[in-house]
Amino acid sequence: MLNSRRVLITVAALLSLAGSAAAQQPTTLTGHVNRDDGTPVGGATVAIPALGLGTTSRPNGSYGLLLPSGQAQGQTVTVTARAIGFKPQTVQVALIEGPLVQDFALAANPLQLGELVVTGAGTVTEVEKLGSVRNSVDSSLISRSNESNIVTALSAKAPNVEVLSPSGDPGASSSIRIRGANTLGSTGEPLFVVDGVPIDNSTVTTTTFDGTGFGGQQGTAAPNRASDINPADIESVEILKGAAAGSIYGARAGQGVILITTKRGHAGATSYSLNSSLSVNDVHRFPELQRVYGQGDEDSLGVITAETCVVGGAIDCEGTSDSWGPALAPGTPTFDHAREMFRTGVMTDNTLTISGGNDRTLFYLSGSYNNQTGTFVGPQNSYKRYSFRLKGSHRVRDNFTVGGNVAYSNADGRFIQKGSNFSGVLLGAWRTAPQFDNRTYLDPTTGLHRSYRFPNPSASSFGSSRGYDNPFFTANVPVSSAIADRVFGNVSLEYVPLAWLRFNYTLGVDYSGDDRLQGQPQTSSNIPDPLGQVVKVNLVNQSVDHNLTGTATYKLSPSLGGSFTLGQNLNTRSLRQLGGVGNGLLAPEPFTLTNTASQLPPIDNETKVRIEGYFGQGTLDIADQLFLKAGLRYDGASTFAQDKLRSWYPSASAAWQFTKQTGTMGGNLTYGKLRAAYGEVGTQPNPYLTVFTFLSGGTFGDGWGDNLTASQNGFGGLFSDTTRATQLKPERTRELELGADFGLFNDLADLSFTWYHRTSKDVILTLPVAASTGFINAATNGAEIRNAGTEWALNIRPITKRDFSWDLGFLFSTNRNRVVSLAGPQFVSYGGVGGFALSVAEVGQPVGAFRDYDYIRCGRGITVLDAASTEVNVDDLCGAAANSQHALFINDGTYQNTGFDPGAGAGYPLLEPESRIIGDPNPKWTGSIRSGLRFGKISVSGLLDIRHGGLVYNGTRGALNAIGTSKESGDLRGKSVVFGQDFLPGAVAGPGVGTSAVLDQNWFQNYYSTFTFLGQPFYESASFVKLREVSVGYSFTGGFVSRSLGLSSMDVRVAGRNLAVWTPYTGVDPETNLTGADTGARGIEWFNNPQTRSFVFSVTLNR
Amino acid sequence: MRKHFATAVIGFGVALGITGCGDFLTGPKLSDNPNRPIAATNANLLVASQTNLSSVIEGHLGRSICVWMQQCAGTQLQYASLGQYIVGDDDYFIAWSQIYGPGGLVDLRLLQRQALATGDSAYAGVAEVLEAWYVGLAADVWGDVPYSQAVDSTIPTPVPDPQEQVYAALQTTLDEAIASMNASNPGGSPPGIEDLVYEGDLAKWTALAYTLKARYYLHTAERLGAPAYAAALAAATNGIADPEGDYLAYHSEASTERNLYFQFTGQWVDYLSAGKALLDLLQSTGDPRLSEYFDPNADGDFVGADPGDDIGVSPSPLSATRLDASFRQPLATWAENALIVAEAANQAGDDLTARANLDAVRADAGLGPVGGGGGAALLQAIMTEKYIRLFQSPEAWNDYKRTCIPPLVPASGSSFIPGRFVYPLSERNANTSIPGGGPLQNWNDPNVCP
Repeated sequence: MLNSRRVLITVAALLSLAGSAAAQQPTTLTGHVNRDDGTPVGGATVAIPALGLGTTSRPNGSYGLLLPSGQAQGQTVTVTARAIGFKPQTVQVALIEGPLVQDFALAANPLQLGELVVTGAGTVTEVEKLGSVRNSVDSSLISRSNESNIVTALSAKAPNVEVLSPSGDPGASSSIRIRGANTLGSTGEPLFVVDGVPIDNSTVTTTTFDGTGFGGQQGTAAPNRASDINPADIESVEILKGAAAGSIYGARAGQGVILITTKRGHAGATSYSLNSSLSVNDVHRFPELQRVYGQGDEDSLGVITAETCVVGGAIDCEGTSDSWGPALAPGTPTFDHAREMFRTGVMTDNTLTISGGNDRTLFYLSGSYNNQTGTFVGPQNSYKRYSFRLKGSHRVRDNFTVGGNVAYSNADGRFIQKGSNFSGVLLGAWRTAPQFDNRTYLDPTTGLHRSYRFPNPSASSFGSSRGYDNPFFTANVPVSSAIADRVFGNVSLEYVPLAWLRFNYTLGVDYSGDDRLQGQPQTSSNIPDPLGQVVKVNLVNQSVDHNLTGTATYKLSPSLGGSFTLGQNLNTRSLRQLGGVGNGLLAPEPFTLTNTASQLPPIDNETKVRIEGYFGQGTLDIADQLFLKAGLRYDGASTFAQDKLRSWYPSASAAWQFTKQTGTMGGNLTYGKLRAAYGEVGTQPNPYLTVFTFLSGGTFGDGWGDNLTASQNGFGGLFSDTTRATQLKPERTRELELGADFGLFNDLADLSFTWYHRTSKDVILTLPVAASTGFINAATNGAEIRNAGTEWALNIRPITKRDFSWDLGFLFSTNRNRVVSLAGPQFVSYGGVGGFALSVAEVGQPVGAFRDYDYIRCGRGITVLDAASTEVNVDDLCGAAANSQHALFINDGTYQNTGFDPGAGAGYPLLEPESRIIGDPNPKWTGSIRSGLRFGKISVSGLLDIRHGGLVYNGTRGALNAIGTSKESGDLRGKSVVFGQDFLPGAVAGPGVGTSAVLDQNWFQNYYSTFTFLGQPFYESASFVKLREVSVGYSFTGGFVSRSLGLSSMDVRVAGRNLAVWTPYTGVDPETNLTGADTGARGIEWFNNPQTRSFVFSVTLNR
Repeated sequence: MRKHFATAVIGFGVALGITGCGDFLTGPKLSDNPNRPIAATNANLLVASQTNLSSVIEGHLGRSICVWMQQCAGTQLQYASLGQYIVGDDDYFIAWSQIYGPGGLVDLRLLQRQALATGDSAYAGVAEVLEAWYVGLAADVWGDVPYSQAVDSTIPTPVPDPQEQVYAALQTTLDEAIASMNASNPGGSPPGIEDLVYEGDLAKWTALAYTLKARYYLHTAERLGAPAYAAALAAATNGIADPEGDYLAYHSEASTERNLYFQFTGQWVDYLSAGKALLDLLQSTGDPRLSEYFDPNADGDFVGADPGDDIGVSPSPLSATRLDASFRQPLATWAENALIVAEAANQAGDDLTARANLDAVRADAGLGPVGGGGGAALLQAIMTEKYIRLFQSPEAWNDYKRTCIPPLVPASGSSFIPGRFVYPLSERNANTSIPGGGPLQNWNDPNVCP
């Protein structure tokens, strides 16, 4: 303090002297920006807003501003220095000709007060004026996550921002969901905006084009397009969660908005930074498999027969899928099928950035190469990404700045077949009988693909399915690649014609060309044609965004001011998909359409969507403590019905910094703000849902992957659309958000609390209609969904010494989600494993609730048939106590269900023929704990991610129970048990209670596996605690680093990612998901590729 | 200078703003779908509908019936459970939606409207024949099904008509179809070679219509008795008179046109094998169709699987002939028509006609005349032959439910073979007029087979 006062006195003296100078000279303003302890602050912004001038400080804290001659006319202007993490400092400087010196001493600012926040569509505000909660992620948190995908890097960084990374495959998609599901028709992903330009973040799996209709549950993982961004280029991410925060994006903000700001150059000496990191990844969770019983079957009489087709059996014999054979003879070699497909994966990442500039021109240039090999053996899982970015700005005139930003990336992903798929790597691996050696995947004699179900292929068997593909074959021979070239860029203009008036213009382009190839070789088992298949698709995505805003600031009195913003946004997005599917390879290679015997109708699809929006926003700041904001957007979108193209989206918020009124309560409460916000946002439907059409190139299939195209024998066939066209209007989300932010104990702690209640009405979805009407579904505004929750953030900084600091952060959030109404049907299904688990939206249930089959239980009013086929209510057989407990009904062999299933006999439960709601995939609460410790040049940090509640469907376990390779099926087989006592403990009732029952193959396959319409036992808790990040870093400065290497610093870091998981879930990972980020269905495991953990070593050289 | 600059910048902004006004949100590719046609010709609709029909009958619905009738056997996982009658509550929704939805009834009605608007009564008649086939199939497997209220845009929840009424209404539909096809049709353009099966031969369509009439009369015979048999006999007299008139689903080697049994068994290895009942029947009588329908297993033996038995010894697969990609699945045939005549004549006491028709069918299969007596014994022979001859046809289920021939033993633990499918969950979900659960047998099947 003393220091700065002295500076001021000096400046004042200088000013009074300079005032008398007569000659016309340019004014130069120079000085240093330091911390209040004297250490320099680089990268701080020093600006004179009235003149539209600004610069940034060099790493040594020095800055310089040149005011053109004639601008200094003796007036006093406000000069502000700002830096992230410091309280801004503002001084009044009287301008004179000639040199001026102004130093700044900035105080630490843990509450980030006064910092500018990007709030979207070209608007900014200061932290304390925000009427809605702020969730911001800066570059250091992103780099510490060691993720190559920006979406994954946001995991556990903000309350109620749920990131799902369905698998550990290199380049695989991640999805993000903010404050629960509030839509059904789309994937629920927020809008991504980079430097003011909305970008594409779609996930498209190649398999959706293969003609089977299975989509994402089969095939391979695919990237989400935001992963084209190099995370090292990102300066900060603002997550606009609520409707009030996002409403400036109107009809596209229904699922929230992620605002990404890329790094920019700073004036001063050109700085160079080279970061190299090496990650070593592996899989550390596996299902438990039995290694006692061999391939074979038990027949209905209980006779157990070993499969004779195993090695040495007849040529081309097809062995059973089952491992229900006799116990293997002692000494028989068995293989670790759970683990043998995995190896250690490696990721290297090298990023070089060069940035710098002067007071007029700034530039940032980066180039990076990310190279990953996955954790599966073989060449078919890897990811390479080259990217570069050039961002620059130039102040053409004092009040006119032009900027440009162009990024190019090339992402080359190779993906392995996974999931519900006969060629899926883990489906084949984990179903394999324990005594079969998968590693010899080519027959030594014929050189052809062999598997445990087809162990002895003849030379002519290249047209025969292998039952399930040998996983080593899958890992080595098929090809699935996604190679995307992407360019995004924008030009921006800033024009400040008058001190109170500013125009911003951004024209942005996002273009990607994505080449997909999926080549399934001859003998592949997953496709209708075992002679192989080639899928080739070219996806071209293009968007152009024009955004113009004008902002006027006003000041009516010292205590009354504000701003008005008016803006226009035009956006065009188009998507083209062109490709083909060829079946039956003529020669084993190459995987080209010309090398196939026949082709499906070509893939030729094109969509175009436009948005035209006008928006206005006004703010009113009263007495520097009450901040009001109101906004309105008038949005039109081409995808709505012709007479409902446009609609209004209002928002309003208020923030009251009440401590300005009440005082700071003796340092215990140093800052206090109450806030309230209300907003409305929308969600757009997919295009062309309002027009009736016929489907060309359509197929008729029965859900088992076999189908016929409508056109046959050269004659064109057309059929009407399965979806009834309707007059769609926007889906509208209304949200009220209340909260408070506190700074406590002289800013040693801060606490933020937020409560919200959001209702989404007219939710756009394809709603099932009675198929007997001729349509299967209708695109309608047909649902209402409610989300309500709380979010807490607590940060504590117990030690903030210059050389020793320690901070702790806690996040906690809850969300309750409920489908309030559906127009028509009882439920809507939007995903699952074909025929088994379903994710549904059902009235009164949370979105994504699992609908599946259970055993018959008491107290549910279920009807069964007695020996005379007369209907009997089970509840009458159970008794009141059992009914209240939903006890398992145990049959005495005389009853059967009404679905024609006779059941397994006396002592066993019966299957309920109708599915019902089994549970909820959504967590009860989520939280995280972060801690950072800095001791001199050493820094240590860690992040625990916690999720409590919710279910995952472990379909893998259920399927392996039928196959007989699960540990459970090995340990329990042949055992005589009493249900409710030594098996499926819990309440039981009914005439068969106490009767012992044998757990044989028939029981497992028909009544205790997912293949036969039983799901309930396979839903497991998804709670977890994950050690998401651990990092130890050391920064070398001075000494040999500067003397010998000529560097300003060298940072060395050792880190870990997902090192430990504590969970009751027995599958690969509680965060797993079959369909990745391309559907709204969550929490389904079906031979999914597992998550990985990483050890990371990284070196950064700065100059 | 400065002023000019400001004007230029503002002017640029305004110019961009103006381009946004007007018709930015409407126009080509925005207001219309650039990927899809908005109209379909009669030929487009007919081709799709014929294809759709074969995909229903060869698809999961048809395969399930083949398994339940023990002509086939389900021998892996889901299909083994299917053999034990363990099915999901929405398993046959796709078939249901194919019958009523796109390619099915809704498009056939569109075809009829389109054809009649231009005076193409022949086209409308063909569409009506297909309509009767689709709806009859629904009535066969589900019993009471929507018909009078189906595919009406003003009725969101069509109420099922009693099965008896559906069959009666279909007779009317078929009579209309026959009249339309045979009406004088000057200037009209009847179906031509785009007709995948009959290439526009209206005489063949007419014969098919009569065979379907006979088929549906038989489906009511367990309830209605002699009059139904008499009506069936009368209709079948005009039915498909020779194998030239067989309705064989179109298929070829092209990957978009392959027989669904070929496609299914190629992907779902060992899911579908030889049914023990049919295989044993063929083997015990030395019937040459044994090797036409089935192939020996890896050990060179013909072995059928019991219902739902995931047996250790590998069962015989379906034959290479039946699993040929271009095998044209018989959906309605001269043989079926002749055996309808035989059954109806036998029921009317005319064993002479019955025997002549049965022997004609047997001769076509390379078998000599049937021995044994008349009456019930002859009926046994007729229905046994029909069970063999109509391999993979849903008629096997209808015939079994009516006559209990051949005597099939239900899967282990079950006392009977299901007589219907439950209404699919997806339809019940959106149509409150469709009840859950439902009866165990349809109206036309009052007596459960022993």
